[in-house]
Amino acid sequence: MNKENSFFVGWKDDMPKANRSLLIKFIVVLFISIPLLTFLIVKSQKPFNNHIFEFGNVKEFTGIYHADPVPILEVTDNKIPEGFSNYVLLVGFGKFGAEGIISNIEKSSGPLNGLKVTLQGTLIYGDGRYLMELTKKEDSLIKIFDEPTVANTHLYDRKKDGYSGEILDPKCYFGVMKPGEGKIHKSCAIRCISGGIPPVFRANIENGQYEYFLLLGPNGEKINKAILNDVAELVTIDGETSIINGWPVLYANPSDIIRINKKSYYAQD
Amino acid sequence: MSVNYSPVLWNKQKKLYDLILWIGILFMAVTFIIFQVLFHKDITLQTLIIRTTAIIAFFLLHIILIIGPLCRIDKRFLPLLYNRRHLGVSMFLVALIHGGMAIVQFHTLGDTNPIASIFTANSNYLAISDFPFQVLGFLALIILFLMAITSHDFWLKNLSPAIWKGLHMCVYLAYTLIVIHVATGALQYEDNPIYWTLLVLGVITITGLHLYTGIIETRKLSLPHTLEKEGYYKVCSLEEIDDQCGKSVFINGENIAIFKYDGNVSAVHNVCKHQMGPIGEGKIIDGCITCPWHGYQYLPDNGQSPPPFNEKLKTYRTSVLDGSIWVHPLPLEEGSFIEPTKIPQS
Amino acid sequence: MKEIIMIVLLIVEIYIMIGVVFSIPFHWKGLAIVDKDTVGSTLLFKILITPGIIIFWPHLLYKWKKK
Ligand code: HEM
Ligand code: FES
Repeated sequence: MNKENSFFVGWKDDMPKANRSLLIKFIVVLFISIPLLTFLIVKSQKPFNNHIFEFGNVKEFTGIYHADPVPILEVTDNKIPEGFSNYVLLVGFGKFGAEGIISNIEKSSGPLNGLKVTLQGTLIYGDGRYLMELTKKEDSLIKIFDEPTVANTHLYDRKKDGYSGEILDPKCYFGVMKPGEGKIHKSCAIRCISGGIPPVFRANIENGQYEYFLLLGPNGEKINKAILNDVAELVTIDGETSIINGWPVLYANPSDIIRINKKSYYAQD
Repeated sequence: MSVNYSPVLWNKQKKLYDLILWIGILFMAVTFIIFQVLFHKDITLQTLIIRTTAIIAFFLLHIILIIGPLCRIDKRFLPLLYNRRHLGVSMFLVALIHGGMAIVQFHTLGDTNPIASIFTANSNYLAISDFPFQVLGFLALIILFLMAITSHDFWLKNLSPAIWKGLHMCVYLAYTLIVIHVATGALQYEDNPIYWTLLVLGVITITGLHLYTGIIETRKLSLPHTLEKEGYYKVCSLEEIDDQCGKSVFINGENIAIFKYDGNVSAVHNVCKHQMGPIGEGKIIDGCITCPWHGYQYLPDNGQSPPPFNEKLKTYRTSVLDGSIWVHPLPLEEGSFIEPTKIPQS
Repeated sequence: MKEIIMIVLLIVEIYIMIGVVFSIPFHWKGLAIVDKDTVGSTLLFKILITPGIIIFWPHLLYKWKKK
């Protein structure tokens, strides 16, 4: 190797042999480490849930529309598969609840609460629960049936109860996003709940099972804005539970939502 | 050596560089995506895009940051430095997809302006594990953006080298922000300790290499030049510098590059007019001092770039006495001619 | 907090708008005055430096006026 040639000059067309051989080694090492690295990273990742968002696939459902405490369609046409509740939680397009769209629809159709209707939307489902996004906005209402109104279905009285778990935005959690929970998704969940999507409290029941509660204030009022700070964190909530329109409900005072850190939580197990 | 600007100066080496770079980026993307689909079939397209681009950008940033110290340790790495700006711009483009997709996914179609939402959705600024990590990614992306749009030599000249260098030193700030972005973001969700291990390994590699080369550098520069005669300082023996090569010394606050060539000795300022490359680590090619970083050239006797270029370096007087090289650390005006010192034939 | 950020965003938007508007006369006249080496450069070069012109317009305006 001659000395003159061992100096690299970028604007010359060729590089000296000494540079070339070292750089080839460097690049080979990089190219070997890349798949090892990506394998390690992907393999160690937390698994995603198997919830589904049928993006681009709008379907029609018929049932009783319940406005309170949150918009729910009690599907009566047997289209909900075995193992899932037929009380379908309605949510709006994007990071909004369904109320805005429904109230726009009601401007021309009159009040819908308790009526049998056909709605169209995109399904979101997982872990026994169905949601429907009113993707077509004001065109979501297909038909109103000429039948008498049906009242809310209160099945149980309220009873005192408390759980630990995480406050989620159900739209993302039940299928739109992976992961739709935890720190990564926190600011999105805040956006969704702030936009009127009903907060859902995923309570840890025994052996890794979850129960999903609609989270409401002590008098059944919405507390979306008051709980934003505690979304996507591990919390305990004490309140009263009931079931209304097919969904478990947890009535709680926002001040009874207590953060716990992960360590003390696992130590408790 | 701007006579006229061209959009991108591509030559054979740069083309090869960019080719390997983008094959590498695609290779990483493909392996990452294949593993995701294999092991996590429930992943959504958005998450796949967000994560693939995040990993690639962060990996590229590590490479960008170790190139400098690697070149100090072994000059044969210099070709990596030569085209580092293409690496930087590529990294920015990949990071932009990551950040853009994250903003679309997590902040659009909501009740707040998406950019404002980054700052306000999670406003736990006093928390550690709950810190709004996306804000850090956003700030880092802005830094990378400013660096990418000013990467052309036009900006080096027109923003002034000092401002330009300052702006581009912010890459270390961006790196720090991203490390915290990852530590307070993804690592608060994932619980496999491998992620912390990798992150810490990355930080150790980068700071370790910088510290190591920094220590070596200062040790080299702080060699005492105590022997003084009529304002001249003794640098080293003649044999210590190979023919057609240089040496960097630091005397009385002056950063000087001394060259030995064709039986002559000359000295110029050790800071390249292009991007402040270390001239003294360059070589004499076709009678010109050639900067090791991007090949800017200067005549050794007057520090001027040969026509049609017009860069000029300060020059220093030299002397040879008893087989040793001496230099006067008082610089002459940029581009001043100084008769090279003839090495006496023995 | 949100109000402050909306105001900052508005200011940034206005700043960038001015930059966009500034870039037109700058390409037309100023560029050649600020840096005569750009005379005869290609369209791609001009496009490449345009984001920078939009962001650093006060600096370039200052250089332009000084010459
Ligand atoms: C607007 C700016 C940015 C936003 C909004 C943002 C947002 C996010 C989000 C939401 C995640 C979690 C994603 C997930 O794991 O599913 C994430 C992770 C990550 N981000 Fe960023 N980011 C931004 C800029 C950057 C930049 C400039 C880099 C630099 C390379 C970067 C590197 C990473 C890395 C390495 C991860 C962890 C890997 C992962 O979980 O995907 N981010 N970022
Ligand atoms: S620093 Fe680029 S050529 Fe010297």
